Amino acid sequence: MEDMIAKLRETFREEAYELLADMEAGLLELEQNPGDLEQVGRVFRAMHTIKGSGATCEFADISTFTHEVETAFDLVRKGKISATKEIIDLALAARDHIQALFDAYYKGAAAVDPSKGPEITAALKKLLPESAQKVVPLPQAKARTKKEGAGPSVTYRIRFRPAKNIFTTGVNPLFLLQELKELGPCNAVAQTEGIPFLEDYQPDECYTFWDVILTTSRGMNAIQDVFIFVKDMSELTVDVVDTEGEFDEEHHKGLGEILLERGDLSLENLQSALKTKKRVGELLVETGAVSCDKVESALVEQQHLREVRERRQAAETATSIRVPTNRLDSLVNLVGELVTTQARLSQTALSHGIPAFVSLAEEVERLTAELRDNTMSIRMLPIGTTFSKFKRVVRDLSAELGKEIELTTEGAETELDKTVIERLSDPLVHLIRNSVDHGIELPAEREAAGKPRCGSIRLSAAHSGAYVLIQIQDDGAGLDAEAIRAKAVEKGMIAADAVLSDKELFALILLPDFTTAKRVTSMSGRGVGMDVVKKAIDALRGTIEIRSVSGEGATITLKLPLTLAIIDGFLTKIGEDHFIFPLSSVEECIELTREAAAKAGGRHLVNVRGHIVPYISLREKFAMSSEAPAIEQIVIVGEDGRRVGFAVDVVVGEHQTVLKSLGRFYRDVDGISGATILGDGTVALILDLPKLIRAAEQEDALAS
Amino acid sequence: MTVQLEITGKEAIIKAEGDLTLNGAVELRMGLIKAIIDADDVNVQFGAVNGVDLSCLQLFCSAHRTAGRMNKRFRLSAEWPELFKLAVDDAGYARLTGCSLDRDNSCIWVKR
Repeated sequence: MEDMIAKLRETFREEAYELLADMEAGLLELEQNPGDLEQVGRVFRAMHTIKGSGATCEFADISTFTHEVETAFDLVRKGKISATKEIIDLALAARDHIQALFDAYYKGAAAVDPSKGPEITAALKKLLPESAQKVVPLPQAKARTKKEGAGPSVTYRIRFRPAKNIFTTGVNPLFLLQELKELGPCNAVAQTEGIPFLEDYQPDECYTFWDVILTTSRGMNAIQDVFIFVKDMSELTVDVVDTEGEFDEEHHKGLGEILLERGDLSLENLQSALKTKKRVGELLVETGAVSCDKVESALVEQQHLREVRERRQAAETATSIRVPTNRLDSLVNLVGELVTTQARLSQTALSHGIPAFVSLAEEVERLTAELRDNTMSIRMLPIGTTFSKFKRVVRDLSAELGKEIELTTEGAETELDKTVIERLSDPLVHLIRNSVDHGIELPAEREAAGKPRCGSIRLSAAHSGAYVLIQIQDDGAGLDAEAIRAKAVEKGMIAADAVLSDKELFALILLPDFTTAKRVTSMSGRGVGMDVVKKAIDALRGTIEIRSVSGEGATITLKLPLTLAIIDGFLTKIGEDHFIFPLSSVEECIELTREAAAKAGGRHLVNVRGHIVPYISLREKFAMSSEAPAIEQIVIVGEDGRRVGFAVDVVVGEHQTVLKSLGRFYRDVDGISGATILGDGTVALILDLPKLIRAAEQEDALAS
Repeated sequence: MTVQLEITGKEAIIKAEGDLTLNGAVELRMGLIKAIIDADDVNVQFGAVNGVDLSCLQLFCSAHRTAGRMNKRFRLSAEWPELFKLAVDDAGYARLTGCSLDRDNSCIWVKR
């Protein structure tokens, strides 16, 4: 039994965190638009599922706590209280508490302070009207699990005609209809034929009765339970009209058939209506055979059944399943191995020169490439999954600092490898915190500077070739170039008379131990952070670019590769050693003769169709002792809008590159970002082009 | 519930606010009767609404029928308070077409 609960909990793991993210996103949207009933419903559904699934997984503390919060939030849903800032603050605190409880189980985080939950629910109760302060206790988890046992989904037709004096007994029929709605998808149509003219109208009499169509897996008893206190003073009929798997999915009942089944229409009237070419409903109303209300009710039933069947069919042909991420990682590793083996196969086939063998190897190569692309696409997630977290960061920090800031996001659908997304989250949080803390000014300062009180931070993502560009743009004060220069000189990072472009100057803030902040806050200004951000982005093989205009704001652009697992590479050789360029950076290759190199007088420059392009000799860079051939190859790459060449001996060609990290001792070697294994088992090093270019520029600067 | 009736010429405006529930149904009924007798065009406008129940919905329905029978017009203002919208939906009063007593396609529950 315990084993089963553990399995259930593991299955619920991802969904739990998704629900919490959804609840948070809904609450933040609701804060912006307090009357948005769609968001109220979204938050309520998330809570309701956490409570229900929590009970099933025997997370009693989570289930009980969520039940109390949900009870309070239900009053918002019913319009009895407004979604005020206090309610939203407490609901967010409740969400954080639920996450802490989940973290304690799933992530082994520190135990949660037991007083936290009661504090939140007590504060919530204070905001509720007196009549709503008593919370009906949640049934025990085991009893609930049994009750909710997933039986077949059945659609019922319910006709509920309460006694005329039901109001005087204190029963509100609308509450009964609401209870029915909680059992499943439900449509109620009021039958109002019995409402008299005003002179005969008795305010305390109920003239309405209802046709309800309800789909639920909770069974007939659950429906009877709703009416348990009024069954003696009401007429209640409940009929099954559709059961999962028992009715012909292709057959959709006609309007006349439904009215006949309900007893609202006689067979004779139906037959005579069918003889005409008019619509049955219209004709029956025209001839007075059936009232408009009853036709409307039958139409609603017809539509309800159609939707239920469509949903069922969609569920049966569901195209998505939830797979644990470790299985996905293992699949990617296997594909990586397969790509390496396929390279060996191709090489062996070519060396043997047997046409049938070569053809087979080519077929395997094609299939492997397709398999690789498909597998990699499975790992792609929209970056928007992390965006909602940043909304919360901005909300909480701006409140703490007394600032007014609006965060807008763009390109949430942009897809990135899940590993990149996971490792990107912390650096992005740090950058956004910086914008909130150092970028955006206080409202009064902004007004004095002629800006709107409310600052804005724009977080956007977009594809650009094999990369994703992520921008954090704020309309704050911008970076203080003079302060950065002064600090860099003080710390001995640059000479007092050094001439630096804005870009070079701003790049200094990415160095360790650099801060210009005059104050240290709980979130930034400690001088550790931007260098950590840079390290994290470097580890993702990405780059950071900072632009800023004083008084207008700053823009930080992160350029990241789409994936960290397999890339298209460009294989080259120097002596017996292999080097790989990321193919997406390669623009062209040209030859460099010894004579042409000599003409440049020892400077590494080459003339490409009238344009001078600097190049880096990788043989020299890596201090390789072998002799350069008479004709070298220059691989020209485009980086940050510049063209730079790299001299190698031989160009081999395109190569599917499975990225492997370097061992501990080689991890910090500048200019190399990883390695891969070639078909013959040798190791090829993957070049870190931005670092190689930067290092060459620094050497040049020092030399001059 | 507070019910205020203003009659200008042949037009009557009924302003209803507070709890539109059974407790105020007698008062609302009297206001509706007077408005329909004294005017040809009756328009209900809502103030701040704290609660709505079935008795109020039935009453408006009855007023619409009564006005129709007397060849008079009865309307609810286009802007409904959230609570009123919720009650109409919960009670299954929202309609695609009017009932057989809706003589001029002016049913107050049809979603327009």
